[in-house]
Amino acid sequence: MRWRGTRNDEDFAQEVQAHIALETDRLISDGVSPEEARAAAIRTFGNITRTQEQFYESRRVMWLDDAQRDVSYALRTLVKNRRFTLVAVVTLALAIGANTAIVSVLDAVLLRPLPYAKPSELVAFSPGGYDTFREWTAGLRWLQSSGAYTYSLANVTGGVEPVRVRTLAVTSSLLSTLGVEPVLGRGFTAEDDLPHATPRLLLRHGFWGSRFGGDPGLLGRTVELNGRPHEVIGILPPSLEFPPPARSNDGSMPSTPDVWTGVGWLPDLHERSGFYAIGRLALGSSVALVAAELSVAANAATAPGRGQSPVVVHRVDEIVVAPLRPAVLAFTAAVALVLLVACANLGSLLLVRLATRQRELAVRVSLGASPGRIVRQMLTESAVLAFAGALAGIGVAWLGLRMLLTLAPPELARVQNATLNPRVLAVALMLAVVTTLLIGLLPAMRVLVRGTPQALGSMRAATMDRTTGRAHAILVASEVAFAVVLLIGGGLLLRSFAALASVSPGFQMEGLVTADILLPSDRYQSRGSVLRFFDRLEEQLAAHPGVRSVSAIDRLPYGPSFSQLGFHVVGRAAVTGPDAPRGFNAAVRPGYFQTMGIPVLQGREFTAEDRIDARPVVVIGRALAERYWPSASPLRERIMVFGVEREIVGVAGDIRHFGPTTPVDPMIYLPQAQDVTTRRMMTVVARTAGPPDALLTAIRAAIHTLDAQLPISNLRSFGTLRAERTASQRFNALLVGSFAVLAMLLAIVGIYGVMSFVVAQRTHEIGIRMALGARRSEVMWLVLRQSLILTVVGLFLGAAAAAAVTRFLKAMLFGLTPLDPTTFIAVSLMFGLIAALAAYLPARRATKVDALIALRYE
Amino acid sequence: MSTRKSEQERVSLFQGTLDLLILRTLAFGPQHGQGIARVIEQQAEDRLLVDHGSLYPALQRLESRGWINAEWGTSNNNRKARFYTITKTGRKQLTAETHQWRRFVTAVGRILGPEEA
Repeated sequence: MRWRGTRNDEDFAQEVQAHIALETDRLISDGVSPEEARAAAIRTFGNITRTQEQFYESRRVMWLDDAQRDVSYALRTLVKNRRFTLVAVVTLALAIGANTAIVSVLDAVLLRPLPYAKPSELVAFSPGGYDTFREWTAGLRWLQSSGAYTYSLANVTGGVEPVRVRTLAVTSSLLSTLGVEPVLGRGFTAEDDLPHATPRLLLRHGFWGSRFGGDPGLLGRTVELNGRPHEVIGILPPSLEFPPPARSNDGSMPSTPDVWTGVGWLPDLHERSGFYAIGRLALGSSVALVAAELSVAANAATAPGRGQSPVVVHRVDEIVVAPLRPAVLAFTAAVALVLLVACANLGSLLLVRLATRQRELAVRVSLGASPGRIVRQMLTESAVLAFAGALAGIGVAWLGLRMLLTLAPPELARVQNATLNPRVLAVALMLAVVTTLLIGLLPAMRVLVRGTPQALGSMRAATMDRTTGRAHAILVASEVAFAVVLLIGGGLLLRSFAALASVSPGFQMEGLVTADILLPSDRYQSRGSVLRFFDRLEEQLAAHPGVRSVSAIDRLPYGPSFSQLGFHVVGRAAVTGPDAPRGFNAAVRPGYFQTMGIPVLQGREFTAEDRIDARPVVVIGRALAERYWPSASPLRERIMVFGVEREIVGVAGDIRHFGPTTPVDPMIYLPQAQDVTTRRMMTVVARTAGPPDALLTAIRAAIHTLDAQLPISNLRSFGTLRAERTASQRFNALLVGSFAVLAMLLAIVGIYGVMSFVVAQRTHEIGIRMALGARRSEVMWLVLRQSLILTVVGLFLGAAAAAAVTRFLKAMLFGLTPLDPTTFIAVSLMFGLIAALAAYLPARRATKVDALIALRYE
Repeated sequence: MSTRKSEQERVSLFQGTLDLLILRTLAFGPQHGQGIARVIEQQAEDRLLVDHGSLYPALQRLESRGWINAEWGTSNNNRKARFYTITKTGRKQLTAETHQWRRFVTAVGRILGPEEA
């Protein structure tokens, strides 16, 4: 079809008028009077409007022009029904935007893919010793490659300030197994697996940046590690997180060590036992096959007669993801609920709109509008609404993300990488748009199907008929129910977090300052020199006015884990195997318990008298005491630890090393002076009288007075440490809270909006009643009654649904049962009150209207 | 309601033939809308054209297909009017459609047989 774009409506209108004029002329010339002639001419012409419409439809690019007009009409309509538009747009914006923001953050924190090549092919196992690793992986068929690693500590000296770092000793095959390559330089070679190789190291990208300013010239130069120069041969990629970021029980994640060395660097390579291994599955392999093959190798290596338990092999992505699964499921459910609330909201709006627009549509149909036009008009209105809502949603998503990032604990490094997740945004947008379009379509369909006479027949602004009313009731009640489920779930989780935060770890955290020190073995060779250093340090620090007491331990709670050791109670039958008595050991200095605020329940703590040449003593934790001496006091009993008989001189209160959710640790404390090995690595703890941060400089000064070259790390107040460890929990609480608030907002907005409309429809009725003498409060009650009933019904339904569903949260709850009554009641009450308020406000507004105006309102 | 329905029926029935009639009318010379309507009214005994307005969709269609051209001009009694003229393509179309129409009429006529007295 050729499009004559130059012709416009004006032109055609003129042609029509010309036609009529000509016809009038003819009739006049036939003898008809001018007025009659004109009337007849118009009659003969027929339906002018229809002809014009037909002109519009055929002479233009139909959809463009119609769309233009539809859009402007739609805009006018939406602006006129301000409250409806606002409610709809706000619902859309919240549902799309807030959801997207929250899920984007979740995605960044919980679900980031592992930074290795094809992580689904990686498996992990624990060979224990290096030689064991070599034995097990010799000639392995079901792994195409494997590598081992172990943790250590070292001092990086020289340069700005000495600092103690965690190191990772790796086999040369590890990086290639992971499929990771240094971003600068190269990795280790087989040469670095051998002892006494030329010392080389790799640096973590972040460490390279913070300590060496990201200087590329560092490659090939040396860095001093433990006093020896090591050549820097490569820098690791910035995205690398290794070992795999598996959450430990308290939700913290171990960080990637700053310095990586070859295994040949370790002086005790063949003696130490903390080796872990990663392997990549060969083609067609599986975890079961690898486990079987490794177990065979392990059995072959063991001396015959001694049983060997099968080797346990895990998939790396399972290790990382498995502990997160409950959280991910919970959040998915939360997202679904929020979207359901939003849909119910929109559905309610639909029904209300249905009622108010019925009459308008009927009138339009009777004026000659074709069904197609009406449907198109309604769709355009909805499209405009959906578009506005989508825009608002994107804006809310962006804002929401900024807000969450600001509120997120800074310790949670991954959070800052969160960006708006396009997938989530797309899903939410699509859902919202589809729902909105449905909203628009149904009123039109209804009118057209039912026909016009019925709609025209109703004199008042249409009230809702029974089916509509029922559907409306269902929607409002279900909306409330969904929101309540989410709020109860959220409430349970939040209370759990609060309980977690308040659990006492067994020692006094306030006013505690710690610093990690590693005395280099070349300058502090003898045990005596080590002890003397700490003695003098304690003297110095104790002299400081801000320090109430000072001591040291080799492993701090919330720090790297304790090592387990087996012991033997003197005077009892020896027990071996898995039931042998075990405990965690720690070496402490005198005054440790007092400094830490750990109560000494029986006996005494160590003093300066417990020297190497004095009687060997231990202090045990209460859990250990209760387990092995349930009925009597363990004081004066003797246990064999590290091959030496030691007397129990005290029982100390329990501590939770790994965090509030973990069981109590069975502790065995030894005096530093009497420990088997010379512990050069100690954490100094000091209790301060005033604010802890003020003391940090003083402590650093005191240490450096004694030894200027000594690296200090992790000098901080305990509060900082705790904040780091609980960072992810606090953030989860934040997210959960956000969802709950979001759901509540949506439900409230919905209730308010619907109530406004219901009230508006009943304004006429209200006017009549008030004119007939009804009191304001009576009328208000009448109007409110239905919505209050619906809210209460929704509350009950929601509470019942929540009761059925919260059992899935059990794994994430702490100190609460899934059916905790306080939470249920509190949430119901709170929501009920707010919903009542949301319904009350429009009702109140309605009763303020002048009765006369209300009566005239149609 | 019912009037409109039957009216629509009649119009759609004659839509194809309406094109033909218009082209035929214009073959004799340029004419404006009202003039075309009058010719059709006069020449056909039956009311083929229910109302004049229904001419215009046909005119628009023919114009967009390029079978007729249109231009504003003045009528005999000095009224402004939009005059339509048949184009060369239009004439070709007219010939073809006339031919087709006559064949159709003859065929139907044969089937129906001579008219009963």
